[in-house]
Amino acid sequence: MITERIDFKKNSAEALGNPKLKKALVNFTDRSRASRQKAVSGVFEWEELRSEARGIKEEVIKNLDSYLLELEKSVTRVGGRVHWAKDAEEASAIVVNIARENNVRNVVKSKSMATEEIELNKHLISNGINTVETDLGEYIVQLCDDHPFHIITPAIHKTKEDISKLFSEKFGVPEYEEPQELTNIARKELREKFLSADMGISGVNFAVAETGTIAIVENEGNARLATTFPDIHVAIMGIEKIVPRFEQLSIFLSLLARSATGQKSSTYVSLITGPKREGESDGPRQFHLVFLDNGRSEIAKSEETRESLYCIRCGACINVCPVYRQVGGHSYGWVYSGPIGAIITPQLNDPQKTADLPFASSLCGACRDVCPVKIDFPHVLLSLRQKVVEETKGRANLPGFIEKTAFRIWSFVFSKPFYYNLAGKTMAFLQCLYQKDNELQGLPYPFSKWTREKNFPAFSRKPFREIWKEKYHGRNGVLR
Amino acid sequence: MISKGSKAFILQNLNFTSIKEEKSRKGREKTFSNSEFSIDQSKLEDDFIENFKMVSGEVHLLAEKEDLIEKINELIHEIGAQSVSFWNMESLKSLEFTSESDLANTDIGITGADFAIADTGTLVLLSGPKQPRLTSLLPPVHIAILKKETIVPNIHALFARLGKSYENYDKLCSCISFITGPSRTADIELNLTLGVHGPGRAIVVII
Amino acid sequence: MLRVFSGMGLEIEFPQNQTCCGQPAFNSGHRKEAEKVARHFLDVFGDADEAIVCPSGSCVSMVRNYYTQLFRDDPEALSRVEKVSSNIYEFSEFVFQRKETISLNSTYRGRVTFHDSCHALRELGISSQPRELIKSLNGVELVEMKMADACCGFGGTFSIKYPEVSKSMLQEKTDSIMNSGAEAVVSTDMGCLMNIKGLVSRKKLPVKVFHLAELLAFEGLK
Repeated sequence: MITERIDFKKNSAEALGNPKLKKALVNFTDRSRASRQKAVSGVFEWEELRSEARGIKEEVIKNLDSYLLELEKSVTRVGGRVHWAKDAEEASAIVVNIARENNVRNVVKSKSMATEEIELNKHLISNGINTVETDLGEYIVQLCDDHPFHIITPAIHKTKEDISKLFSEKFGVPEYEEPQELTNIARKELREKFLSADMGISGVNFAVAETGTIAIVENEGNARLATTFPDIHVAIMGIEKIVPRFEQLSIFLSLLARSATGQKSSTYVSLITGPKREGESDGPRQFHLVFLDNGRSEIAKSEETRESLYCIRCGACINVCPVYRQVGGHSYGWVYSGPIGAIITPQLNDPQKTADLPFASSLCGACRDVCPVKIDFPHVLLSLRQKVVEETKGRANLPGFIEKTAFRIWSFVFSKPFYYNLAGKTMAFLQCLYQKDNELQGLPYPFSKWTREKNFPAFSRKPFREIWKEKYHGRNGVLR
Repeated sequence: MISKGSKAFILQNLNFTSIKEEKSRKGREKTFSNSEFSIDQSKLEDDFIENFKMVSGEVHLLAEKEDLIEKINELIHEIGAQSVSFWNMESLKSLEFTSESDLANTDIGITGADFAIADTGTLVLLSGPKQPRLTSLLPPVHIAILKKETIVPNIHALFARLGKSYENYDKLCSCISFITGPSRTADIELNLTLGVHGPGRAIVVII
Repeated sequence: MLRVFSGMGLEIEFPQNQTCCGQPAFNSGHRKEAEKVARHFLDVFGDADEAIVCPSGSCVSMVRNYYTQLFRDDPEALSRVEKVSSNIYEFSEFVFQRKETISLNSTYRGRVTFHDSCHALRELGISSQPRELIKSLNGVELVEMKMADACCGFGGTFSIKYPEVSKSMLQEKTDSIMNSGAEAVVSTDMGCLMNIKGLVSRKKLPVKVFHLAELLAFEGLK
């Protein structure tokens, strides 16, 4: 949960003032957009896959209660245990409890946004349990005590020089700069951690209700290690991650890899059904699945914004977002960034503290076009904006109050042609104070926000309707 | 903190509509098939090889299955491996090595592959008593032996095949691993590096 | 627009009491205020049997795609929305549908580049129509800029709420325009044009900013 108000303006100003970051963002977004485009164009039935996936998700969220019960039954049948967590605190407490009961000292984690959301590492570490992120990007982020910059590529804001210095400091190795060398160092460091771990924690990409299977998608192999090597596997899933039938995984797996990284398939997909079976030499003895609500069941109730729960966390919306491209991941102030952050963060947290986010979009709709489950981002953003406005009461929130008053006046003027004309003429008269070559500069607040950086067109002294009357009216398609 | 009431709370919250839609028990309405791929088995093989190579995988094609042991020996020699670990497979019975049990200190892991997907270049390995998961994961080199008749056109066909093999999902194996090339990451400035946690080399021998 | 329509032999009406579709308030979350202005729009245009042509895709999208939401509890308004939605057109879409009837005698000569307005492109599916119209002009060459479909940063009140972010997006857009080698940039949305022009003239960049209609009916130096 966030505790302080997310100040998008302040956060984004920091990012905009960092040219190194801007370069990294342009490089990253250009490349991920291009590779996604290439991967998607190779699938002739892409649109049908999207529609089918959306249809499945719509039905799942409407019947989520019975699907959760079905999933619980399936997991139990194959020898796993299900835990229900209504909020972040409870989810962490459940994991800490499992660790305590089994005298766990070392935990390896694979990348999971749900665990970021509940700040699981902090809880485990404060209970004396060593916890290591094993995804390379997350590991780098953890070593610098930072937060992920992107849901798929968390350390994309770090240059190889930064990482080289970091590794040198932490491990006493020379400052290698080749990414492959850096990767090799991380492999060596982390391999030790895997071999001494007694519990592995993972997220869940999809959970199949009918079989109790969870799907984990990755490229590095760290999730495979974390879910195979240690004796105990704890998987944490947002309750929206359900897919009803095993076969339906093929649709979601086809969509996810291409949307996320532009790969036809991620390097590793693990379909895990319960703990290891009799006679197997590897795999965990215990399998725990934690259902995390943390505000999701509230979202499911809202007809207007329910589709926020269809998200499969591919990050495609982030990679095409022109706002993210300027301001990067940390500006969104929480675990999820870009368009998905702008819609999810306000719904999983205090709306007052997150009121900036629904407005942090130009509503260009590029996100909607690439979303594999066709989330109508502009629609959800508009609905959240409406909610923010409706909850802004009185004069306590001054900018909100001013805006509300301005729109009241605006709606009055713009629904009465007489006043509309009058306003136009008044503006045309008043503007001489600011006019220069048929354009306006240095306008007063709030228009100063526009004219600080760019000119504003001047109002015509003669409104178009008058020109029209003189030159055109009643002449049946002939210009005078 | 941990409350027994959470399950009831969540379910209560989700009970927002009295008219629940009919659950999609009937399964997918549509069957997806990538028509670019014919059922022609040799085409599937070519596609698999092309796609597996595209993700930095290596492929060796054997004309005769009798050549397998010779090929494996050749690869072990080329890699300069001191130790190998392999699945208990009939086709590897005559290999002159003993399977190393300490996988963390083994140079090569050799496994079979239950299926492969042509249009993504993916190997599919099912876990079981004779098919440990770590053989394909811990050693720096993974060699998979693939029978060409197990290659399916695409992921939709694979799931259909799995569905047939598992009439009753109670018997679904504990882990199905999809492997598409060697372990990789792009976490450092989007530079591709191999072998971050899993094998840095993934080799398929097709018989 | 008038000159283009004249050239097409169309009869034109300009309702004197028209104002706005209500989108600025709607997009900022002020539904009640938006509804008030949108009702006025329906009063003015709701009974029209003629085609309603608008120089901005954004306004057309508001009417076509969002009025149903705004008036979802008002069946009477909804029936007018349905009628108006089937009659309203974005300029390039309208002209392109009747391209056989136009005789364009634009005197513009040179290289132009086209900026896709987000709402025309993604909410109305307009992409080829304006480009085809540009290409049909003699002596005009269309060069594509990098990321022609990227937002210019306008986004209505977004550009006032987060002017720095908006400016940064606009900067990329004008860089992309300048790098295309075109002497003019053309678009079909007054919002984008106002935004782009704002920076172009502040920075005195050597590029002209045109609405498609201005290009099609250009009467420059003869």
